[in-house]
Amino acid sequence: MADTPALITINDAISRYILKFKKTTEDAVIYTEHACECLKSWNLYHGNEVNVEKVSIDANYIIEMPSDMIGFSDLCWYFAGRYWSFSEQKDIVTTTTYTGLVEGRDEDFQEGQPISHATSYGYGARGGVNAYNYNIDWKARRIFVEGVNSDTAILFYTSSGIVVNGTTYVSDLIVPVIDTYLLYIETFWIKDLVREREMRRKAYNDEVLKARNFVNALTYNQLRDLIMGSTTQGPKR
Amino acid sequence: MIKSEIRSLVFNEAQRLDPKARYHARFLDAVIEKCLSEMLWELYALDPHYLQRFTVTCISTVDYEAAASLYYTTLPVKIIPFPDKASGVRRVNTITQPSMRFYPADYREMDALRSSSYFKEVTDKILYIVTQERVVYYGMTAAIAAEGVIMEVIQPFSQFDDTDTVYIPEFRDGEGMSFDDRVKRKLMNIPPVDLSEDTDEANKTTK
Repeated sequence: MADTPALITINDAISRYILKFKKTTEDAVIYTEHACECLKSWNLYHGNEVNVEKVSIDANYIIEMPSDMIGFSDLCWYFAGRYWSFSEQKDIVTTTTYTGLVEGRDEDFQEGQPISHATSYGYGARGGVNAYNYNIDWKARRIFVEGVNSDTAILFYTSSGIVVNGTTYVSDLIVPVIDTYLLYIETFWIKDLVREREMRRKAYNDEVLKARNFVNALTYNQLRDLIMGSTTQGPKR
Repeated sequence: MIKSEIRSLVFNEAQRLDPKARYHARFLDAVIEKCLSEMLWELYALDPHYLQRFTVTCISTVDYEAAASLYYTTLPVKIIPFPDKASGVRRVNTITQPSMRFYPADYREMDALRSSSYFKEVTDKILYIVTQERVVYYGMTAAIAAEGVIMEVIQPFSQFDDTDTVYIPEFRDGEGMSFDDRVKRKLMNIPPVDLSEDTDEANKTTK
């Protein structure tokens, strides 16, 4: 490899921080905790990385959320080599009924029933409706779907990004974000630095904005495809 | 400077102040140790990194206390305690010395980490906790324990042999006092005559 790697471990990010800012290892444990908080915050609010996972839809039209799922991004079906996105319907019934110890859906309460759409035909008609829908119950950590059961769907979700059974990597792109976050957050326990808190907070915000603009901005090719895909070209005279 | 030379220097300077002065070697050592430790503390206050220039390297074994399920090393020498978590053990590493492997910590952190922490999930770093008698480890593995550890410690003056070289921080405080000035000031507070009557050979008067 000719250049430095694009991914580094979070441990290395912390070691580099200690090196670059002439810190002692005294607070390394605390820095580790906060660096992970920073990474989680980045993944949730700024970054563009989502976990993609096949999830089972059981016979009751229910998907159990993965244990590390913090934010929902999308739920898809696979169709003709592409993802077909489910539509959110906030009024899908999310209750279940127990028969003894067995959980099921009771038709009397419209549990797990096909939903009706307000469609009309003829002039001024609203036609196509999505055959696949979902409703999220965050408290129960379940996704109730409509249109398919006893099958597999694709769930896009955000997690903390902190790997439990393995190595946690971060993009080298956000190392300055972690650095400035640690510089900011240490002002909360190093009393002498309290006067610098606002200044460091601003430096952190600047780094976050820089990085999130970079990862979320459209490239030239994306802009070109967006414009050319939605307009009709004519000859230029 | 060699330890015995430092003692001799102090003795001769004290004699210049009071020609009748006679001090026990042990007493001189105690005063020197007090002054030297104070100066190292002041150095620490300037920047903890400076202490690295005054460390002594020790290679130690790691033992296992089965009842408490913890690894520890009995301090190979006495140390000067400092306020931060590393105290007088400024660095610990494996004998083969790979990248930074050990972080200093305290018991509060170790107890909190055990219950729930990101640290536990994302790192294989080993924490070391310095107490008066020993260094206790968190996250130590049997393989590293078998290998032993290398420590950089700050030891008090009394722990050096007479032929060892002892570095003295060569700075002056706000009053312009250097190391030997401080020692002399302390000696002036105690009349030397009272201290010269011990006939114990081991504590004979320094000449």
